Amino acid sequence: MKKSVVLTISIIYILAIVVVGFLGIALKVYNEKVYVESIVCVTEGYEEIVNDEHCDGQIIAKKNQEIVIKCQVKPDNATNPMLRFDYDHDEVGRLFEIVENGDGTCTIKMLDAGAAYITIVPTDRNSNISLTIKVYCKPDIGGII
Amino acid sequence: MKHLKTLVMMQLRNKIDFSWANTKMNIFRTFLFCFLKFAIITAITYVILYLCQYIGIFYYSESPRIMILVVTFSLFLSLITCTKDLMLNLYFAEDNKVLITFPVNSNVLFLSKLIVFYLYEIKRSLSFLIPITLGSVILLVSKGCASPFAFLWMWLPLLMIIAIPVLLGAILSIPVMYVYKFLKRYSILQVILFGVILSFVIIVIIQLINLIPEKIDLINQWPTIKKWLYQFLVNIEQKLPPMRFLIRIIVGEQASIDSDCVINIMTVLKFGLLIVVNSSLLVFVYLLARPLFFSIMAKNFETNKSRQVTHKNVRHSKYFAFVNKELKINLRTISISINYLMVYIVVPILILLLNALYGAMDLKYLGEILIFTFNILIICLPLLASNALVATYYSREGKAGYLKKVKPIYALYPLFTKLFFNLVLSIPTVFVTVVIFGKSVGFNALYIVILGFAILFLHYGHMIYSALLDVMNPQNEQYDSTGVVSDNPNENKSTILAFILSFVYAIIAFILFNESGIQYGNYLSACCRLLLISLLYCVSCTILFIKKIKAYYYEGQ
Repeated sequence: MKKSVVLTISIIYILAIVVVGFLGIALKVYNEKVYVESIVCVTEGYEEIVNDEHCDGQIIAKKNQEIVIKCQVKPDNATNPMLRFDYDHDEVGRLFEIVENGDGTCTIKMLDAGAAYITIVPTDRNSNISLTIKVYCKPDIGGII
Repeated sequence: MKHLKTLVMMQLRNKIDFSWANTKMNIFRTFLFCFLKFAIITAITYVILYLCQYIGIFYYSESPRIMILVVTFSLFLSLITCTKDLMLNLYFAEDNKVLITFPVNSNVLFLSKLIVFYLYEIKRSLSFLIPITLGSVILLVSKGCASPFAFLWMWLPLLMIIAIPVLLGAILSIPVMYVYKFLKRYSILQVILFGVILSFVIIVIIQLINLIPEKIDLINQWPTIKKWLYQFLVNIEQKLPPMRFLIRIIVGEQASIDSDCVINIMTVLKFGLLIVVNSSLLVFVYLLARPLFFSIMAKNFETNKSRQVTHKNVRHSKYFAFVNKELKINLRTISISINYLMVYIVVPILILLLNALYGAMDLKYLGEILIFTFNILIICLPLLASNALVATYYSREGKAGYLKKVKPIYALYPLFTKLFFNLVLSIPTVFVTVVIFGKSVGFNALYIVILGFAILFLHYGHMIYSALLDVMNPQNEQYDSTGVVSDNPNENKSTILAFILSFVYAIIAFILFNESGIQYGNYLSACCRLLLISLLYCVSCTILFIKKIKAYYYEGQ
């Protein structure tokens, strides 16, 4: 085979790789933002409640018991897995005390009997995904009996 | 001087076909064709370089670095071909037996051989080195990176640069000639050497495949690739100072990589140095090779004893006799057997490497279709281009080729048996290659078998057509006088046809695979239609071959 033929075939061979590499490659969105699709509470004692328009689940707490509310976001590779805790600020100090721990968890302490509603929302501002947890502290009825 | 000119002209007539110089029209047509070919290669070079710079592979000012790479590659290949051809032309050419009887000084004879080869090398450079250099210079000048004077100047250094592989080849041809003679004496060593080279090539390819990263994404990895390319060019320039020296003589001096190329007194001095180097090489060649040339030439002519090994004369059937003869010719002609073995082994390896690279890419539908297309193109190109050798088969027999007309058998039979081994050996290659391709892209066995036959029939069709070219325009006289024809028109036509056929077939494959994939969701229809096209081509070439042989050997008498 002649030198020019070998060279031409070599050039076409390289072009075959380059052309497929540029024109045939599947386009991908890099640095794609993965939004939080759901929030799951993994706190011990959490019970899911179906068909309740006020909350998605509840945790039964005792008076003055500190409970760490811990949640996970789905999918695991969410770009921004941080969560925000919303609650009725008027109840703070009267019905419960709450401290956001800064690591995606919060610690709640029920000061009195009643129900505290904590709404957990992702900070990536995607749609209206949220998880509302009712922390319920039963009234102390031992004395009446 | 007169003797030298006569000898040069005489040998040039044997080496280059001047049959076109009969009429003014033919001369005009030939020159026009040569000019067009030259202009097209120059334009392609310019466009490729322009596009490379347009998409940012390198900057205009870095063109000399590209030239270093291309000229190095070209001169390296020239050195190999010059060494081999000069060895055959100086020491083993058939016309030596005639030339030695001429009443001329042996020095003149030796010089005439070198001059003929140099002139021939210039002619060969017109189809590669010179247009590529011109294309690069046009780009540099058009972008204001070089002076327009470079257009006029570049030809002088090029004439000197082209002489380098010829002179070095003449020196290297001496040891190569001894190796050649040694290998010819012990043919088993040829096989072992070939096996070693082949194993080395396979190991290198496997190493390359192992180096392929898991994911290839040219678009997103482009900054890294560009950086690597830049570093590669810089390394080439740093590691090859003689080549940088040669390119500086062509385009001129550059103060820094960002500055323009200027042809100044330094360039002229460097050119002078190049002339001195070439002259020294010429003196060295004259002192070293000339005595050997004359002694071997005389020895071959006067005292050459062929080692005759007598075998019992076995009578074969008249059909098997031809097959037996071709088997022996194919095995004994090292250039034929190595050419085929290389092509038949290299093609599957090329496809394996190509698909390993494709496998690392995440492709869309267009990418998949492009993979099919390029696989078919890369399989067809070397396979069909190797048929250029077929276009010399009958002429290689020299004057003995005309004996076919008197053999007591239908001429088609001995003509076809010449192709027999090529036809048979290509079957496993084509199928192994298509299996590698098919498995890589997830084709089932049916697709692989159909595609295998499709490529095989295309190969057969082109092979038969190449053989027909040789039958219709025999070069027996040229082969008879020199033993080698470096610019066989049949070989050139066969090669050009191989490229056209491969590209057209690949484009058809692209259209058919795309259509079949969209319409039916599979590629069966495309494979079947490709098989049909190949079959039609093969059958039409075979019919043409039979008809022409009939006309050439029988009806014309």
